[in-house]
Amino acid sequence: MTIRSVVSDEHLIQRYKQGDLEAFEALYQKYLPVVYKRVRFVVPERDIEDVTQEVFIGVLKSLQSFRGDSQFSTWLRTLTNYKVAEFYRKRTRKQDPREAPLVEAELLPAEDGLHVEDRVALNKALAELTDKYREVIVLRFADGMSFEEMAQTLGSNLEATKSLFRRALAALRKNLEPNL
Amino acid sequence: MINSNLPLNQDDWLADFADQVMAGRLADMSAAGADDEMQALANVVLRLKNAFPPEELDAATVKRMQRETLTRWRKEQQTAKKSWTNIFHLDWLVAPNGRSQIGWSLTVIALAGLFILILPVLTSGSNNNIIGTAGLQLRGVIPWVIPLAVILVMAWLLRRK
Repeated sequence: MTIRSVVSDEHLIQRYKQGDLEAFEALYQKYLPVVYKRVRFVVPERDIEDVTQEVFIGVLKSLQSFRGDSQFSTWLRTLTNYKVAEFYRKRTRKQDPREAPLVEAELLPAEDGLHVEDRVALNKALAELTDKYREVIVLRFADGMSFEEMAQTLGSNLEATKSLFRRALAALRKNLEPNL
Repeated sequence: MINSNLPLNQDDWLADFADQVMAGRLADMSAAGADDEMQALANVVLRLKNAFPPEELDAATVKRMQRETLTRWRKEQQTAKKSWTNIFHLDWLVAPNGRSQIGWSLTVIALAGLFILILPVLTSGSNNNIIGTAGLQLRGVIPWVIPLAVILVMAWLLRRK
């Protein structure tokens, strides 16, 4: 049995705070797929690894001050969203974001075909959503949460969460319209 | 007649549709009975599912990314540490580029400013001296101490490189 399946996040964080880098590595292996999936939804293909690394560098820097007021997974989700927002802030300063999808489409491997083009369009449309709308879509499609789990995460009830989900999809559809 | 429960039903219908698509039970537009708006939203659900198929990271990729993350973190730590120590070691003053010139210029300006500020103290006071106090003896020494201190500081800074 591996270290990550038997040891709780709290215990690993405690060990990391005492200088055990192996504890961080266990956290990394447990949460990399989670962070990667989330980042993949909202960041262009070529930047996924870079932003994912930024998230874990943020973990290394901030974990010492993590007090455990919330679950580590919740804290990590907030940090991921922050790093994605930071990525878009830096990117907006560097280039015209309207030109980006074309550049990305050229860099992507051709075998993925239509899905790649659609992913670029969806990435862009998701990035243009409000935080609330983007979050509810990412929770369902990237994090794979059920609507009950989403309601709990968002601190809302089931009906309100489903309603938010429908409005978020409507907004996403509107953003996608020029690409339809 | 308008059904007052319609918005809630639409929400439930769309949530159920998304659940079925995500569970792999629906792979196409099986939205019979739904209105145009719902069909369009269902189509967005399918697009999201198809554009981001499940992708498992293989062990080698995880290992490589972990290694790269730790390398980047260590580099960032070293850079952060270096920038602080640079300030205290005054490396910027003797850096082999334009920063060196800026450093020297600032130092010369600061020393000149200091000298101008203390000049009145050095040159005045001969009228209100009380003969026989230690102050009179010190004033004779200060004009020599200042340039000597400047020379010593310069020599120390240059010795560091």
